Amino acid sequence: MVYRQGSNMNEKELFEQICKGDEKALEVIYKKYYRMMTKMVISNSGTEDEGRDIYQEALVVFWQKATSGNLVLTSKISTYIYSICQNLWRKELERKKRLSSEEKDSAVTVDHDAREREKIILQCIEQLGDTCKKVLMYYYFEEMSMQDIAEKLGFANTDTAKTKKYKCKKKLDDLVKAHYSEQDFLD
Amino acid sequence: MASERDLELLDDYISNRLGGAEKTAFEERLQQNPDLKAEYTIQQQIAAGIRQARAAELKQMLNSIPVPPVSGTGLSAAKIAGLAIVALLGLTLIYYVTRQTPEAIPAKTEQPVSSSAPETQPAEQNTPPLQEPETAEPAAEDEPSKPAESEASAPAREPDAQKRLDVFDPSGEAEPAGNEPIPGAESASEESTVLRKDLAVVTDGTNKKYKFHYQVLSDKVVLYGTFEKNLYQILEFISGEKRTIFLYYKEAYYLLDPSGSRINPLVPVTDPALLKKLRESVKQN
Repeated sequence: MVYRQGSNMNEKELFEQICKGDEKALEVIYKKYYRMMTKMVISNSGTEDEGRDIYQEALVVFWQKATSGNLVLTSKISTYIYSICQNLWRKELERKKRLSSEEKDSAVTVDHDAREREKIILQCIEQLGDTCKKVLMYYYFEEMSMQDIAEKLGFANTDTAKTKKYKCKKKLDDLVKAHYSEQDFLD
Repeated sequence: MASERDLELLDDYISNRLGGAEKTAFEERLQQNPDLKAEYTIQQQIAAGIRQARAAELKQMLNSIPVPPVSGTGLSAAKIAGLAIVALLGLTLIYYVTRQTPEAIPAKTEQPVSSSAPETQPAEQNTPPLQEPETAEPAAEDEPSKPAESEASAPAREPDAQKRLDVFDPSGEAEPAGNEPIPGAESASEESTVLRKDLAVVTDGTNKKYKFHYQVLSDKVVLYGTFEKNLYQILEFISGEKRTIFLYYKEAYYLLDPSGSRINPLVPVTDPALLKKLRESVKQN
């Protein structure tokens, strides 16, 4: 696959590559629309850092929807991503506003248990090997088929991918449950 | 206690692989079976954690991609002044192109590139050139269709910029000092063009914001990011008081803007004719 630069990029081809989980195509899109998306945030009371965060967040949403086959694109890629950016930025502005009024009322409530559970799970994922992590991420995030996972990770066949996924998930479940019981998160 | 089959269905449910009647039936079972529901809560958290980890990984990957900084959105007085200078230099260049042989063209690479922009992207003038300028100027307001328009208009502009780049001829620049005198861009006096390779270079890999950027100072060039030693070289074409500077790094050439001391992203030269001429002039020297 040869990536052409800028306006010569075939939009359809690019989207097809994204749907196949080609990270190089995501990189091309990121560069192509970086300025466009961050400027939307900057023009609406945001900073470049915030713009970058929002744009990255939007691209992750776009990527997840495209790779999982849950996206039928009826507009240009840029239009779609732009609208996600707008929605995310709107939410962020609302969150900021809410946060500042909550601070005034001193009524900030944080679910410490939920945060602790989240932390435990991320730590357990980190304990897995790279292949295990990839298998589970492709399965739960990209929602790839076992065949695609096998191809992407160079497994002999679909059965190998299934077995690997089963073992990796079992390992992660065991790790998480062990930590949960230590913290009394299990009922 | 949930059965093995229930756990399989649970996994399919959580990973969005159940649909239709199967999904509805499983949701009903979930409500009726407390053990299964408890397991669902844990599995849901684990799947959310995996998704969160993957999103973080993707963002990390995106963060490592060098992108030009977005600075300013309006047209300030400084930008207008910059535009005027660029336009003036562009006109001067056109004058010399029509008048001189290719060997006698002074170092002006940055001018044709910039001079093509005011027609379409005036607000961009104080920012470094982009690899894909055609995508850089959407409507900032709530009109998702605008970026598409911006993108659609792009192909018509790019070949134009490429064509203008052909004007630059480093082989002409590379004439040794003291040889044939060539005319300057702004005065009628005759000046010679020299290629210098001794401009000092320092690298700064500590700045998190600038990962593949440069800054031209009066006595040196600062490269921001991680650069492998001995793989970069600065080519400075001097014609009278004008300087055109290129960075050669890992078999690519980057045009450096010598005016001002802003930190700009490194954008590779892609014009094949210019690349050829750069290679030739380096070879000759």
